[in-house]
Amino acid sequence: MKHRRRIFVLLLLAAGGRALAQDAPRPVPTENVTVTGIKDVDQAVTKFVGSMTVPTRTADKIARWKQGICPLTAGLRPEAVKFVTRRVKDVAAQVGAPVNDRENCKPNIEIIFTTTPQALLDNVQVMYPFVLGYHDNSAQAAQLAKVIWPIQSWYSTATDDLRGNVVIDMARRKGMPMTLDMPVASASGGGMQVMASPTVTMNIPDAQIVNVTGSRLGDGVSSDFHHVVVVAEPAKLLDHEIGTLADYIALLALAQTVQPEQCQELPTILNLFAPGCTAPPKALTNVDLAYLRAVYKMTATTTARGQRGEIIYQMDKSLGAEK
Amino acid sequence: MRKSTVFAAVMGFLTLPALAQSPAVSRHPDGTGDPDATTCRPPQPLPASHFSGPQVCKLNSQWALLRKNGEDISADGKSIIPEVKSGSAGMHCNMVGGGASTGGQMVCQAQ
Repeated sequence: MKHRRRIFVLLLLAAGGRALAQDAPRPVPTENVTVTGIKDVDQAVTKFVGSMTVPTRTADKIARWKQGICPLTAGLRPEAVKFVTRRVKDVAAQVGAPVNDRENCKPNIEIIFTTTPQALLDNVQVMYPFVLGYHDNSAQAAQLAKVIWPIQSWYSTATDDLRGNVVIDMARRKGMPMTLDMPVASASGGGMQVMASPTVTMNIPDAQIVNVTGSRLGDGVSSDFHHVVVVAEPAKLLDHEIGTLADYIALLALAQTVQPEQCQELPTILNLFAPGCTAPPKALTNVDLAYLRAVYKMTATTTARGQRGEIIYQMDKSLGAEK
Repeated sequence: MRKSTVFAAVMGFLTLPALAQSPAVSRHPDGTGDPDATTCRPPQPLPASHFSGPQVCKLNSQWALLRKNGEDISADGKSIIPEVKSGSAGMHCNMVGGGASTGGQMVCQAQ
């Protein structure tokens, strides 16, 4: 809890209170883009889900919010701050994500507008590296901390086991060393045989105990968001309206999404910064909303492959119904 | 006799790995060495206080990033501050010698 407050203070300091001059915010309606122009919608949806979703490294699950979201925006004029925060909450409520509506809730989504995004991320890398997301070593941390996009997001995830134990996904876990004596399998006699002795000792440093079901369909483990940071650089966003930016931020904040390096076939607000997109949508599209709804409908504990299948099914269903 | 030997063996087994993993200590960590190894800075005096802050331990890669950006960790270990260049950092000065009417000599030494 203390940690979170500290992160916020750090982020606020780094943002330096440099407010972005923006027009007064106004609500942006969701864009209804019909996907009939696409030959094979099912295939496009499968491709979209395959390229956009990122399973977590520790549990291999698609993460989503389990605790109510509490967004906090900094670095804009007060009315714009209110607008962005409200919009993220509204989108969350619209797609079935939990929302913490208490006034003094502890922020778990931090949206920072700053003129020096790389300096901010450098500081995060030193003081709160877990905010960058799972990494095994400093080289991976440095890679994660690179600011590439005008608006970029970082996801700290946690693994929630069968008994509700929640552990933040980190390479340097505070586990205990565990030694297991395993029977040796011998290859004699044409097939593998397990011999009673001798045994081989396996040393597992930082072992974690996770309660699972043992089923192949779902192990009872799920991935949740613990903390999400979205950083935006105002100087690179002058051509966009605050409503468009708020929608883009909402999508990033509610699902761990790969920002596309090429224009997506399906109309999505993620095309906003993708190179080669001539007329990207200026608001969340029905594809984006179908995707988010599907993420918050999927079975949390099934395999990532199963989760992707569920998302595709739900998106096909909702987009197909609109055709 | 036998009991104490077993005890010593167990203690040795428990403490040796811990000793082997103890992080390096430097008054001014500059981030050199294995980027994934930890270097600790010993406690520094807190400004306007008689107390010292905590020992600050970071990965060498983190110290290197701070130095690259001309930054340091504050004495209380809680925030990032601009780096104070050596020469003024960590100097402790005292007036030595001299009486009521004669001036003494300022002696500074690195802390």
